[in-house]
Amino acid sequence: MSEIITMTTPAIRASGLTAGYHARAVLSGIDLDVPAGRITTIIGPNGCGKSTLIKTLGRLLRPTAGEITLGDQSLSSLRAKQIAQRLAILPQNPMAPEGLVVRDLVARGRQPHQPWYRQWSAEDDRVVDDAMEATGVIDLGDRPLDELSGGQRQRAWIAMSLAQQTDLLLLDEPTTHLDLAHAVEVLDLVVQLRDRTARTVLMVLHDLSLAARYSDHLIVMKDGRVHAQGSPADVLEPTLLDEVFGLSAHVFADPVDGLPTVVPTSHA
Amino acid sequence: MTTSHHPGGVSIGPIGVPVRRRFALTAAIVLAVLVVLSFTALVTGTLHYPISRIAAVLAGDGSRIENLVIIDRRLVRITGAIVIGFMLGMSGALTQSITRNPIASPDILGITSGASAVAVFFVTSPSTALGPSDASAISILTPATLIGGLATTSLILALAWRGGFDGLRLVLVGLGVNAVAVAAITWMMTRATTTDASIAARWLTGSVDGVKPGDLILLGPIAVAGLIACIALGRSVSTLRLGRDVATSLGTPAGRTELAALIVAVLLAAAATAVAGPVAFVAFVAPQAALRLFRTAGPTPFAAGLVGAVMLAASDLVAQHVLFPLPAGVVTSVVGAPCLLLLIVTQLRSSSV
Repeated sequence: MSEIITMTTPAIRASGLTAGYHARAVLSGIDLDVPAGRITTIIGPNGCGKSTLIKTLGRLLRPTAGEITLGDQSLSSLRAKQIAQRLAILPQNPMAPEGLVVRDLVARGRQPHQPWYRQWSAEDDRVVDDAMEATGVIDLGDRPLDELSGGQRQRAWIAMSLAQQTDLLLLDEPTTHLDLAHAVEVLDLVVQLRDRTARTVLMVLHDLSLAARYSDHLIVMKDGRVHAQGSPADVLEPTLLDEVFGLSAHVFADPVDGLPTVVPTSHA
Repeated sequence: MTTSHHPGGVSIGPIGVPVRRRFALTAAIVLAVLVVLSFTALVTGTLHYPISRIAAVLAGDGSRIENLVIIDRRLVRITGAIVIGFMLGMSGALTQSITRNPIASPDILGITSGASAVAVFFVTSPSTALGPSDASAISILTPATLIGGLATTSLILALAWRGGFDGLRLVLVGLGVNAVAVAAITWMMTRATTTDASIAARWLTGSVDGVKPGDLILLGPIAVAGLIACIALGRSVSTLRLGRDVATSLGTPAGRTELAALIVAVLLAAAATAVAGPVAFVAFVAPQAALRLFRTAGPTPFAAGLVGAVMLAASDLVAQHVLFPLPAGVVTSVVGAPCLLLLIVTQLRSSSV
């Protein structure tokens, strides 16, 4: 079984990736594979380059060296619209113009599939309905985004990305500014997407326990490099937490479902 | 199969257009208002003609005097007001969209003032002073305002660009450039001969009074090209309102779209200014009024164009017939200035957090 998994082409692959802002390199020589059809989460301390990495993979930042491969094609050889049909990235805290209603936002996701003279079709309407159904915002279609709760708004944005019908979905800190219940709601949705639509999800999360609970694969970053990668159970252990986060913590297997749970040690 | 919650749009063959009932209805009403305004402009004036005569003249059956009054004066003037208002509205919608700032219209950003300063330079410098009253003056004013508009925009961008637009920085730089341009205009006016200065002053108030058939031949193609550009750019521009990152994710190249939209906006504003002078506040108010009337998220160039046309046509009618003849720019200022104050006050209140 494991042989089949390793043989599968990764959804996205980075080799020798270097990127940053202006002259300052934030990432240096990143090599990684994001397994197809799984949930992969990038974790790491503040300033380690998590966000820079996901932005570079999602072509919001141009790498200064190295290559990104999408399926079996180089990202730089594809046109903007072709990439948009295969990869959607939702940035941190996206902002909608005042008064934009949910349905119109979600319909924007169809853009990569529309020529300029056909900005609407019955098929588009159907895909938009499906995306709103899947994210539970179907009854909010006529509501302006600025009237929604944080969790509802985030689900509406994810619906837009779903309407893009890409195999690969990148989410940069999808749970920031959400309380725990809404964060869990968004992450449950991510699991449903993997299970029902076989999408590959790559995301950045801050919370280690949530990352452990909701990911198939973890990428641990430190100082602009990949420090470790693998399954949460393999990767999350006290020595790594100390090395990477400077955190002394116990890692338990949750007595209910066996998933790793990170509990910081108090020094008080 | 699945019942849609919305009548999403209509498709004819390969063409598909999303339909929003509110938008279509408002567009119909605004067009009807334009028809009423045009009719009013044709039947009112110092010389009275019965409607039957006006219809006959429009059908090509008028005397020389009737043609002069109804076609060359009234029809050209109202058409000019509509076309110029439409261009200014589209221009403002583009700049307000790409900067995501309702205050960033070409008149507030100093683009119009910069264009005017170059035009005033040509009108008042002794070697080129032909005066806009001269039939050939338009041939100098048009390239002068276009060059002035583009040069001012380049200057503003050079000072404000940091790998993209920042709405607030652009507005602040624009206000500075505007102040410099206005000062330059004042200085040139004090040095000009009385005749040149009064010609320039009249042009500077912004008026469709002097629009000639030749001007429409010049403006028509620019307005049509601008409308086509707005339709082609419209979707990318509205996607940009979701932010540069989301736009990129959706396959819209942010930088290229912003630059293209800005160039189209400057050309539209400068061409309109060349003919009518810097008509104040239409480019600023029309998009803001349009997004409230049409209830769209952000100003749409087409809707803003329609509202701009109504605004300038109505202002010109008011300017002609209320009390004593005024340039239309005075009326648009009276309407526009309070709108600007209101917007600044409400914006500051909501964004001071």
